[in-house]
Amino acid sequence: MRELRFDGVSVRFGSRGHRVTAVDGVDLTVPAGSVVGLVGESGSGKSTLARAAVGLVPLSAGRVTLDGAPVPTRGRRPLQMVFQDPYSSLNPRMTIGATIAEAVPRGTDRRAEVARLLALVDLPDRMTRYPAELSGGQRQRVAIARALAGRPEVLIADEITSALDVSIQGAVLNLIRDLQRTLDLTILFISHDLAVVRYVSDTIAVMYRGRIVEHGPADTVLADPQDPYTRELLASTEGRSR
Amino acid sequence: MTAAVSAPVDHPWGRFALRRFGRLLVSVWVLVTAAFGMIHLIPGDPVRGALGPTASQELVEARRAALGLDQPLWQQYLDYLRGLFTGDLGVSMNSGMPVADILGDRLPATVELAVLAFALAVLVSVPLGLAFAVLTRGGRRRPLELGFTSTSVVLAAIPEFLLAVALVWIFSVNLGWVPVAGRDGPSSYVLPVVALALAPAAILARIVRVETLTVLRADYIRTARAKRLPSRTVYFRHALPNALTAAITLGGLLLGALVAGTVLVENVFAWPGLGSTIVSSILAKDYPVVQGVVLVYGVGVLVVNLVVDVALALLDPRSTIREG
Repeated sequence: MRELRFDGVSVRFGSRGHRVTAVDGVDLTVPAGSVVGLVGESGSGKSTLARAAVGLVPLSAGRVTLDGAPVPTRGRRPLQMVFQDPYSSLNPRMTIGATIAEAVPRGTDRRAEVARLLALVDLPDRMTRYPAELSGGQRQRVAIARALAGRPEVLIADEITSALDVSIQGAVLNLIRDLQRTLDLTILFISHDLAVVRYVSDTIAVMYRGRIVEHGPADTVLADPQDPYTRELLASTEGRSR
Repeated sequence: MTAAVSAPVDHPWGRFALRRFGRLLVSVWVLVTAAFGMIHLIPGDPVRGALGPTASQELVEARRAALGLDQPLWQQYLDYLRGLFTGDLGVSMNSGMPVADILGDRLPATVELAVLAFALAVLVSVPLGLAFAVLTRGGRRRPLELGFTSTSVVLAAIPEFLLAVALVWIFSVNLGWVPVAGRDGPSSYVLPVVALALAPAAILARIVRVETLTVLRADYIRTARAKRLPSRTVYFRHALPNALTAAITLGGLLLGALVAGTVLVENVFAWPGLGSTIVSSILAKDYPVVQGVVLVYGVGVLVVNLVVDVALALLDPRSTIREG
């Protein structure tokens, strides 16, 4: 169980004259064993922040730490990420058993571990199937099992339900909640959908134009939003659900 | 019999393979008919042309009767088809040898040449394409990329016969490393095989590189990297199998073109195969032999295409749907 911390993290793209600041001095703490929901519209910098945490994009300033130490770049990864698109993130030419087995650390009984992980995400006996034989929701479960295979303590879920049908979204969200409780995971849950974030998160951070504009317990942020952008976001969600 | 046929039919791939085989039969029939028609479409009397203007009219008539050319057209066609089924392709007008024997004599040399050249092209181009894709991925090493694309396009554009002549001039005439021509021992294979393989290898390497570049941008490669797999596992296990589908399609087409290329290369190297046979028999107006060689080449290309289509359907089930 670890605490994930962003201190003054900035990510800039492009060169002089054509520079975009995607993430602008973000301070955010995901306490050990809790779920922090990160919401914001497309282009607000949520995914860039997640990619910076796992090292897929370089930081321009600030640091990302796990329990005060920098995220290790070699060996076992205590930080794992589940990606948005379950259709393209699995190798179409490998069985899901093989895909998950690759992520299992050396020295463990891979077959047994894969079976355990698939049972954990409610997909028993699918080891020899190819991704094309599974539905979107099932593939996203495979992606979650793949991330869990590395025995992470912190999970970053980047828009993991946005490519799925609404009916399947609920099942995947329930799975994330159950896993978080049974495995005591620290989760940074990213979504543009406030309703989805509300369902799984303990605290909610709102991101707008690369900055965190509001951060607090889920109930407080939703009941009494301080920032005008949060109010706007909230209003749009409620307008849609009505 | 019924059981043997109905079992694969239950499977989409089996259905596809059967349908595809049916199309092959239609293509072969068209080919056979075209080969048959060839002898009748040629201006003038083929027998007179073969025997020369000084031959006596009696001799021409006798030869026409021997070849069955005095029969009505439909009768000739049926005889021709019957001959094909019994392995009788007629006799050479010049040597009097059965055409089937000539083909059997010459075919192995051509097949050897084509298979070796194709194997060389694949063995060189796949690792090369993969290596250059890895080196130039994401816009890295622009000068290297430019060097690769320009060199390969030049190699692919040089006609086989020109390349063959250049190879002979450099390696046989000037350096004396390998024989100038003929089929005598392993060293005589080097130049014809290289001359045939170079252009397909260049094209295939380009395709493998581009396909690999596309695959390397795919999300599942990012997933593979997120697992911290060693680079060679990412490239060989995740990227290569996904990049090869298009390469197989193109490889089949190139093998067809390579078979055609043997005609030119065999003539440069005096290779005792079908390619040199067809040219010499065209010049000698020995039509039964020309017909036979055309049939063998045609069926060869058709069978290669069939094998590629069926193999592709196994690897990528989507291609069976496209057939409609």
